[in-house]
Amino acid sequence: MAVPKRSFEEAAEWLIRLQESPLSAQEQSQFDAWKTKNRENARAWTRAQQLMGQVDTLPKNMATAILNRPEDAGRRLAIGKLAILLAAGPTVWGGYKTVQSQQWTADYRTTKGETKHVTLPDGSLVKLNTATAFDLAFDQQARTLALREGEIEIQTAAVNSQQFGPLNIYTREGRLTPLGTTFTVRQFDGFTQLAVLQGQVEAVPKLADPMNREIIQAGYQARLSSQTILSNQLITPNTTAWLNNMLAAHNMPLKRFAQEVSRYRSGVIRVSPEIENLPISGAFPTTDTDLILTMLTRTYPLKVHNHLGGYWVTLSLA
Amino acid sequence: MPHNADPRGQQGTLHALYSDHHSWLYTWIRKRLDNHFDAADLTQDTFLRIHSRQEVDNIIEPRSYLATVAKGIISHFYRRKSLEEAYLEYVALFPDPMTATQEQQHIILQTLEQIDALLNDLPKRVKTVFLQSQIEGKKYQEIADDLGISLISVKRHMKQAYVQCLTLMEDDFFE
Repeated sequence: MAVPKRSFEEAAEWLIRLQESPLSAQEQSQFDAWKTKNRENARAWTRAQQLMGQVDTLPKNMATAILNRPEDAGRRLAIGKLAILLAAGPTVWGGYKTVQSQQWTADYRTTKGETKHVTLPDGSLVKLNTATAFDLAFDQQARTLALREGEIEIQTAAVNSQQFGPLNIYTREGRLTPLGTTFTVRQFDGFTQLAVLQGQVEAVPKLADPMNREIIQAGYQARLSSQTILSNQLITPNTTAWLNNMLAAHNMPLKRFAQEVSRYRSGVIRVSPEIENLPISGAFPTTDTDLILTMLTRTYPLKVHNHLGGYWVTLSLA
Repeated sequence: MPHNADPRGQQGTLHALYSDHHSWLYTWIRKRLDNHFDAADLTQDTFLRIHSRQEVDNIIEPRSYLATVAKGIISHFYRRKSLEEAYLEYVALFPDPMTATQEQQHIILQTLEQIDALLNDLPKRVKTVFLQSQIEGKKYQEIADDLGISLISVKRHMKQAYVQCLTLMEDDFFE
């Protein structure tokens, strides 16, 4: 005899309830009563226990990689307009330039103040920081992620190399090729910053000799121009603070600090010249930029003028 | 279409269906697959499936019926194949001394296939929520924050996933 849908729905509701917090004595007796109310409920609950038991036997990382693998249809859908551009151009750079010149049509993007997690068709996880945009082209030859604006963290997935080619991240300055890894990439105005949290990443400036590649190790952050690797040093806290929705500063000149805050805030923050170089230190919540400004006034000799309902902010000497 | 409960009659109808449509179905499946051997197997599987359903006599439009059944079989075949490839790839990249025996590996692969089949038709977002909760062990609130959706939505997705799994499971599904 078939178990009615209602029993499954109630079993599902109990599963959800049980995963939230321990049952009170009253809830426990309600639950016991439900299980024994009739044979259908009992059978639905037996299935629920079997399902939970089986899910528990799976190795976590393996199951995530495999069950989250992209479907064939999903993969075809993922080969979007960028792939066509890439295929049409003589080189990847040719295609990428075309995309760069387009305005805000990126496949994945966040607005100011927004952060987002996405899972790519190969199962890799990407966190987008504020005001970020990237395009994606996945096909059998290569997986291409073109960062157009902003900052991302990538945790690469273990994938089938027959189904997917190598993963490459392109910025305005060059190509980054992860070697099984977690890392962050930020597109600055004029350079790319890479920070490797796990594994290694190969960094190749766009105009450098491709043979002259450099491997950035875990724990290091590097800056790339289109010609060369500008620096390669130990990671500083302000590079990775955004992963916890924080902005970290250590003796950062106020003018630069204001630029950092502006990434998370609509409108303009103007710093009057006499305090441009005021050194700012501390950790600030990027989810509340009004609070950041208030915190500044409490610690430093400056005042905040709000105009246009906070759209135009001026920081000046108190 | 005659309705005939006599098993020999069914057998005869199946035979007729097979001779009339086998080569058409084989070509149809082959166009949707990369390799010929699999196409032959899947053509055979399609007829076997129809036979086991004992619906041969009620088929009114044989080609569209065959194509519908074959589509399900092809999609199952691809899903299983991609899962096995992902599994082999994972094992090659991360050899785990804890799952050394072949038998243990086989059990894990089988469980993965079963869970995969249960989750197959769910919308992507629902599946993501389910995996984050059940495989990665995240709390509902964490999932809501990560995906930028409400706690209510997370619970609604979880309920949809649970109901689908429980409905599709036979009583001896995992045995």
